[in-house]
Amino acid sequence: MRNLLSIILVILIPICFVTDILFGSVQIPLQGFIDILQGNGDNSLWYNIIVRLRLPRAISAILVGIALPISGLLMQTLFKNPLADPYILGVSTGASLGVAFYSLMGGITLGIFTFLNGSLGTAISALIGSSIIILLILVIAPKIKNIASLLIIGIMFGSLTSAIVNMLQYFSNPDEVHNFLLWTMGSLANIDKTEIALMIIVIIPITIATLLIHKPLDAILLGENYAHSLGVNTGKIKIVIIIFSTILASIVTAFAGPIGFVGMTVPHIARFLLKTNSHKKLIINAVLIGINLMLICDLISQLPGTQTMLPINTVTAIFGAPIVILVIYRSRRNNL
Amino acid sequence: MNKTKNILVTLENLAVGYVGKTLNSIILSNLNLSIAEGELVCLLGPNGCGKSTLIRTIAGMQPSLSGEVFIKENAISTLEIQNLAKVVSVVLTDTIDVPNMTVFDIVALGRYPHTGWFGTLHSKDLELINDCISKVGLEHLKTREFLQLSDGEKQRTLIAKALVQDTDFILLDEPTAHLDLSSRIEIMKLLKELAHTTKKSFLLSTHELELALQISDKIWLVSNKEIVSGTATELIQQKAFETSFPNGNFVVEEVQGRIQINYR
Amino acid sequence: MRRFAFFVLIVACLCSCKRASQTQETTQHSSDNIFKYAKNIFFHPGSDTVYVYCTWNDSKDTLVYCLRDIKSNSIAVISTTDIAMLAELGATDQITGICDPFRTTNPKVQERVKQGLVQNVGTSMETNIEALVALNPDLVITSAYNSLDLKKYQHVSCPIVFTTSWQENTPLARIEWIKFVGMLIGKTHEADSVFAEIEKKYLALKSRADSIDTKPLVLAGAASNDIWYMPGGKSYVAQFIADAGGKFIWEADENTGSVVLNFEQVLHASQNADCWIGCDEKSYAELDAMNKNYKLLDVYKKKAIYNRSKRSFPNGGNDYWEYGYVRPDIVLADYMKIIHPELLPDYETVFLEKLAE
Repeated sequence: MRNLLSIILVILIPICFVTDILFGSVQIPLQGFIDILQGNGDNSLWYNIIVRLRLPRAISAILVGIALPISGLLMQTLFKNPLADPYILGVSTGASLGVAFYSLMGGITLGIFTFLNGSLGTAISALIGSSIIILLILVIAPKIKNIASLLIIGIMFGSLTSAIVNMLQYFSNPDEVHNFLLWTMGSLANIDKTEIALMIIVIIPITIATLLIHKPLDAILLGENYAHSLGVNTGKIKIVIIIFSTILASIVTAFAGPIGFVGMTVPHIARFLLKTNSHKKLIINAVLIGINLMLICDLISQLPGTQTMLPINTVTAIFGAPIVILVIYRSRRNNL
Repeated sequence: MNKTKNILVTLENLAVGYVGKTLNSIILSNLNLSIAEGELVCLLGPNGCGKSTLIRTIAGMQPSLSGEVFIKENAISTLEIQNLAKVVSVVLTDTIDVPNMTVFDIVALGRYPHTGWFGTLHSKDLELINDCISKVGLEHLKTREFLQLSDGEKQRTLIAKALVQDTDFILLDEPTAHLDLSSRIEIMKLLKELAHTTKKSFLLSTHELELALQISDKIWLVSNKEIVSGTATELIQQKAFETSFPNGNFVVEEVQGRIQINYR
Repeated sequence: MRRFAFFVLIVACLCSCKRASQTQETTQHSSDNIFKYAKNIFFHPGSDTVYVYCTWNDSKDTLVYCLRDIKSNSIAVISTTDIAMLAELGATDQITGICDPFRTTNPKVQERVKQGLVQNVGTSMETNIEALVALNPDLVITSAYNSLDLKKYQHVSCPIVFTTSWQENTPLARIEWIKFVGMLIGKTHEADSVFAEIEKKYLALKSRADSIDTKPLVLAGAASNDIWYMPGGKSYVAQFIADAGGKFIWEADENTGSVVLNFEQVLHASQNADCWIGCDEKSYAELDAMNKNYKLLDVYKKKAIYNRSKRSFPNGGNDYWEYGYVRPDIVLADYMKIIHPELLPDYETVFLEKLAE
């Protein structure tokens, strides 16, 4: 029965992928697709739209659908908190701090910023910002006995960086603030081949590595003491979890901005459908569900047939919010 | 009591406590004790006397202040965590709050030190899991979700998990804490049975004075930051309980071959 | 000290507005209004009352200004376009307070800033009310973007004038507000002649463009990721393009503001565009760095892209938005030079520039 679900999910992926590419703001006639498949029409309008615009976006959606659920799952296991998400240690606020410094310092342009224009500069500054937060967390984490304290520290980092970001916005001009706000809404567009390749190089190995450590992840569920008694090096595994999760979250945030809800809700969907907490099954199915979900969200955000579109974060929130409510409701029931 | 049993666990000049910045805080010291194969030892003493600290130290969860714990001639400080897990298993008071895990799932985790990278359970493992589940009397609840069990059933699950880990030595920290009276009796009886049938050594800390006195082969009684070891009878004769529980309103006596606590 | 009777009657206005606006609507269409192009402002010659109409998303406001004995030796100007208007009227010496002083492009004002004669009264995001009060100017000229903005200054005792020239959607209508600024500083004649000059030049250029039948296809706006902000078909940008003899690819649209489109749609719609006027980048390298998909546009392949940054400065100011605002004739000439270069062979563009390859 559980294997059936995985098989269905695997079959759904190409269906969602093709649908995401087929539909968008512009209606493309069948002839257009045929031309492309036949290898004609290089540089034609249809080719540009499908291969240069929609295809990278769909691939980005897939990569985000892999990375964020895994990152969220790792955080949920580490903190044994069903509401944990990839950004709980402050990765996205760190990234936004980096981007804020980059895009909101325009009036006080330092020489170093001028050569890093546009989206590459944004990505690099996001990575730098989130890396600083990650390093701070890694320095502090081994010294903290209680994992809940680490959670609070992560949240406090987040608040601090938010405050700094607000201050930067306050002193900027409307254009710069607008650009920054657009970044915070997240976008799967404008991610080119090199950036996709970078994401693949980072996301795929880490996802596989996570699957390989599914055994200690299961043991951690019992608590650190029990995990230790079963032979798990809890200090090491906690650091590994933090590293895997934050790298996945920050690589996505660097190129696509902060995309919310996916990381938290997909592991819960997996748990709900499979009725298990075995990480082997959860990791595999979270990836499959995440890919399908992101492709669907991307399709919806394009609002095909209308002249307008929704930011990707809006769509993921529409899916995510009801699930969060469901999770809280269910965990209330368990904590009798 | 067969006095020619092999010694499994030895505590040598052990001192346990907490490392401080300037001064270490010594909770128990000068511990030179041993546990034989198949023995069930109860660790007794007033609240806060260091029972949990000792259990945690012997389990390798925290370092000793000085001295050493030997399990089958191996000092546990020299053992890798994975190997230690094959030698001693634990049952703690930590709450497990994970949904979607059945009794079977929890018990199966006990095979962790013995399974490979992917945690695949072979038929030998499955046999052992089912066997241990039935030893603790939970076959009928095998597929029930752990969180839906009663406290006593949860504790039995965790005992099964410790059994399935297939170690020669099992440590239990207050296994009857938070349980109601009938569950407490049930657990202590179960432990006695298991000690008899599995030939594993058990060390458990507990407040259950009466039950402990009835089921244990040996008692370690905490007294003045040290431990007095002996059978219940020996300790009664030494009046060890009165020394250990100076404010206790009770006296421990042997009456007609049975150990009895008489409350004043 | 005589305080002149100059007040903004917002609340009172809304009550009496019904009656007043009804009369306004009938008189608005009469040729009594000195404003021929601007639709949101009304002044009857010989009277001393100016009516400014503000249309927000969900409401309307009418502001009534009585022009009697206005002191304007010290003026705080909140938006840069009004600085340019005052400058055109030779009144830069009267400016004593502006926002983001480092961003202005007017050399005279920059000089005054350096000499400490102009105070900083806030940022473009937020006016510093305390600094404004401390400055205590004779007059504050500012703009409003919604109904709440009108109430921002209610605790300030200086006289506040709200200009909403940005709500006009033709270039001449926008600059015609200079007449209002002229009234405020007592230079109505200068304002009228400045406007007449600009109007004459603008219309002359326009008629030359009108005479050409071929209308090149023009793309406008710019993208952020996969969103393209396209000026509406009835926006002032669309007007510039039409007046310069071009055909705006989004002319069929009815919006006066910007429209949010998907990059795909723009790719589709701009297939045969002859040029794109409206980016901010100065080179193709910058353009690529800003958005990787620009290179898919036909106009990119034709290398027919023009920015508005010829007079932009590293401090963040762009003269297109200051001086360009008050000289639509020059901007129109720029547009025409790009769209119909044969009409202005010796002209060199001032604000718009072809992207360096």
